Amino acid sequence: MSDLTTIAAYVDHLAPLLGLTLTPEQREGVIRNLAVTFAVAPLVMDFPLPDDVDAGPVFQP
Amino acid sequence: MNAVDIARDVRARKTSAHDVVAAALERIAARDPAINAFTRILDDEARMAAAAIDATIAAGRDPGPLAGVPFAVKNLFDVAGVVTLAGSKIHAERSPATRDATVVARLRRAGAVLVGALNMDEYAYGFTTENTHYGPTRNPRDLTRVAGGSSGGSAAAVAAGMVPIALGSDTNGSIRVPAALCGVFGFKPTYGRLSRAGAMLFASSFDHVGPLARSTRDLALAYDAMQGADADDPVCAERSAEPSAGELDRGTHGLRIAVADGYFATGGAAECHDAVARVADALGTSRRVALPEPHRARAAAFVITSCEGAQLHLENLRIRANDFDPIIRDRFLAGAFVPAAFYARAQRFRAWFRGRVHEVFRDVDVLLAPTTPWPAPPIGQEKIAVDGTEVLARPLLGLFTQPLSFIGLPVVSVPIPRPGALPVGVQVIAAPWNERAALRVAAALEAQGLAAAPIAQHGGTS
Repeated sequence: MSDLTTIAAYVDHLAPLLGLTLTPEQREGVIRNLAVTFAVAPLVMDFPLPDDVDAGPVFQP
Repeated sequence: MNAVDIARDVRARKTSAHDVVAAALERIAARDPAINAFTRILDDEARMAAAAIDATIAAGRDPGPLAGVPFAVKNLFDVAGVVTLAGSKIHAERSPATRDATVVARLRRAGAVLVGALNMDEYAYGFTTENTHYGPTRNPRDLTRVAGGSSGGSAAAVAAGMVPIALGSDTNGSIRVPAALCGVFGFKPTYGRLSRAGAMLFASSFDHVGPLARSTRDLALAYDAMQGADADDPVCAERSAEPSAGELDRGTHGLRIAVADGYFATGGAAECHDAVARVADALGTSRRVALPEPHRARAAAFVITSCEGAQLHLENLRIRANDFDPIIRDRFLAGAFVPAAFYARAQRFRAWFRGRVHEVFRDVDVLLAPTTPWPAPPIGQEKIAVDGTEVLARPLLGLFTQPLSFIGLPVVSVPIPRPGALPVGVQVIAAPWNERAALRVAAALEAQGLAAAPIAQHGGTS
């Protein structure tokens, strides 16, 4: 779904917005780890769920 | 000695809490330097607590069901007067906790004596306890191997006979994985059954706490003492305690037991799947039932864990990321970048998956699955060969545990010893709130001699 270049660009754009300053080593690690997330996410995102499936947790005010 | 026997003998004044605790401290002093399970030994405090138990008995008062039983806790549980490290260097700068975590307080109130705090993966984000700050915890059955994690210190301390009971936490497998790799019993009750108040959270949607021990009886003894509602943990259920210790002798009669098929029946080393087959044989079942979409459950658990862990630590990731354990740091950082739609969708998938699994539990009471896909890997090893293919050893340790904690099912990981080889674990899985069924099956397997957790003697394969 997402190649490493696209993920790298996404990380570079989002990091300042998240207040994160990544060293080159951290940046590489983030890209590598995020690539795993983007690789497995379609298992969840592409699975059809009926609209009425609610997440469930009840917030007790 | 196990906890049930210790409590019985202390209560009957056949021995004293003082002697029991002194022996445990001696054993820790002798064995822990090679194993590195403890990050803090509470020597003086434990001796004083033991003296108080003995005084209570001498005064003719009830010392509690766990009288004089030494226990230790993963160092993410608050202990009054002790800094809660949660495996980190960052939290070592914090002030000592001012009160005990709820489950620690409940065990102490039941007469148990806390002897120390135990090593773990930093902030519980790992399956091996190869902690860079405090050193790896070594597997007492083979000191060159990992203890598993993230409750690795807990499993190792119990396997080495340093304590009969330890507490751990389990988000994706962190009680069950080390229990399996170290060859002890590990118990993750239903999500919300035990209070997490005073335990450092990791991914709250899945965080559980529970005991590890060398017998089902000891698990039940500790579990029963910790049950009950707690307003300090919003996730803790408003349920009365459902004592389990008296249920263990009931056997498995009337329980519908099946092997978890499909996803859970492939992908691991032959010895792990063989152990499940042996357990199924011993229980006289040949039924097989597949859960729907467990690979998606694992992916959803991965996404949610990643997001919740990252947001919890975001402030420190911004200002001092390099003070995190380098093994874990970039995973935490990456979690901050996961799109919110992934997270929200994964939570909705969780509800869907729960519904389908509830349907499965209409026809069965207990499911069996391997705990880990392979026995303990060597410390420092990143990859492992399975069916001729190299895969990442560490994250895959949670392959079979992660889809189950995802929906909070109660699970006992029972240890299956193998002569001359490392032990493996089998998960005994029950429907939500039916812990007793899982514990009954674990007790039956123990009675048959198939499941057992002998004390690891010399750090060789045993």
